[in-house]
Amino acid sequence: MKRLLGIINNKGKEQLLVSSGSFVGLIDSSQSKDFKAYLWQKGLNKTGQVQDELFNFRLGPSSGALLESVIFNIFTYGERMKEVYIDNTYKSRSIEQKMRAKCPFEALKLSEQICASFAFSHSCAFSRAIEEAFNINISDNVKIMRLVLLEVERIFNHIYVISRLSGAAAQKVLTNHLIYLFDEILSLNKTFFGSRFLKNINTIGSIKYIPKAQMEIFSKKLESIVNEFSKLYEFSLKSHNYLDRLYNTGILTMDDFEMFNFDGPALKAINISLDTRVYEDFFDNFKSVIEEDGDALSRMIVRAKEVFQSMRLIKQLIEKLKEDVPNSNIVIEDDQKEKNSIAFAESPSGTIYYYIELIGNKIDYVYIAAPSMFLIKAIEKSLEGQIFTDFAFTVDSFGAFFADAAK
Amino acid sequence: MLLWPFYGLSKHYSKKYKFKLHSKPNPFRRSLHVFVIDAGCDVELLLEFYSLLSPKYNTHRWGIFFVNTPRSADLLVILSKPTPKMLPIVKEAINQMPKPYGVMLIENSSFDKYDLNLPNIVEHLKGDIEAEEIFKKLIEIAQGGLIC
Repeated sequence: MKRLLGIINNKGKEQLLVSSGSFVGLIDSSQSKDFKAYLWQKGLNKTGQVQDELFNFRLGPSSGALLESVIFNIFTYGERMKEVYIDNTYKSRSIEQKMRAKCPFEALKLSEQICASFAFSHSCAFSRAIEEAFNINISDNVKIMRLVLLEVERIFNHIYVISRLSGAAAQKVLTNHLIYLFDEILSLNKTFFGSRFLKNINTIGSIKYIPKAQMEIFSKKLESIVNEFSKLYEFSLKSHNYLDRLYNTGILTMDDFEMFNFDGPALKAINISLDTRVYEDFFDNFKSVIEEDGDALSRMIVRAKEVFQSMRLIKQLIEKLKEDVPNSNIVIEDDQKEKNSIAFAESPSGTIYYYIELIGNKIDYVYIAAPSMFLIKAIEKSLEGQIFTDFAFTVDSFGAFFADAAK
Repeated sequence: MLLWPFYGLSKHYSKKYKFKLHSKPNPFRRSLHVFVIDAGCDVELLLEFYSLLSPKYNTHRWGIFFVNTPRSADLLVILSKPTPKMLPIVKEAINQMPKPYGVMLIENSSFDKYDLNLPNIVEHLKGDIEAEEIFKKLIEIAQGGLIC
């Protein structure tokens, strides 16, 4: 299955960043007709205009109903939403431009500031791209630790998304329990790694050293939180009121995937997985969690099952850790050569891709394909035809962050 | 079958905090209504505020309430230095607030260095600010009252 990850426009030449199976790379823009997603990425889709009796109900950018500063232009004639256009430019901090002319270590810090919920995934994808460009060999322990922390990020992010979803569906008791568990994981991260959102842990070629014994203690504490989540999740599945709200809400289909090329749990909920963890060497027989209905309930189930799966993976990975301290003196020399590289990491809401061009040891061009960019289009599509009551839990079921999309 | 309200009552999450409070006989006398505006942050501060809704902090017990509009807020919390597009919106939110009011600015990552010249800033936090720290500051402001 092919995905258009982005359009690279550098030095007057347009190329397409695409993924297909295990291939990720640039192709000529003459092949743009193969990708329906080219239209919206190029800005060629029709823009929102009032049609017939529709009026534009504008929600945001500063609204109690929304978490982030973003505008939802909802074209409606009353209760039902006919078309939705999201404007996330209010969140734009131009981080890709700010990375230019910086050394990779400075740019790494910027990559962590794109979206805190995916801070480790961004950091991981960025450092993998730099390591590939400069042929930096990293130890197995560093690789394993990165995979462990990616799974930790997945667990707390999924619990957060499910808490938002249950809050939107008026399940207040469940929500409070889940926020408590979310906060407990963040506190655990702070205690063991020094950062609640796993920032400043990863670096190019290395990672902060945590002894294996400490990681085992961390794993046990995290498991007790996941067990608590498991009880809550099982209990929530008995609430027909809750399930009725999520079932058949915000449905996406394969046609929508072809149009917008989203991935992550939104795609897994329609029975297809493009999870890049299948290419990792340290996972034994990794199988993605998939569901069939493509609605908010399926997306919630995928996330909940991934929490349990991630916990199992963390335990397996920690067993493979060895007691060696990673090299912390990585130096990137200025060889004045032009290089480019592509790397990725699996964030909780989909794969993050980094395309980086370097001149010597300075960054010349960066393109980041963040999962939320695609999910925002999926949200727009899934809201069409829904009533306002479904708005909050349809949006929250995607786990998209506007900071991640706007960059 | 156990119902959700009873499931909720079966757990005790609230943490016992000890704060240095002003010498008022009743620490719960004042309440603080807070409106949080995301001015372009990387979600970290938003998630820290979201953590404050955890029963561990029990914010309502301390008289702290999060409201949905600046028109009913005592304190406007601005998360990160505003992006160029958010600056006029932040200023308009301040205009909408009833007097007396306070403004709390929290920055965890600063890309642009410029002065905001916002009125009534009662607190300006910088760096890696966590939920517990924000909570303590809110309690301090609530107990001290807004002097603007």
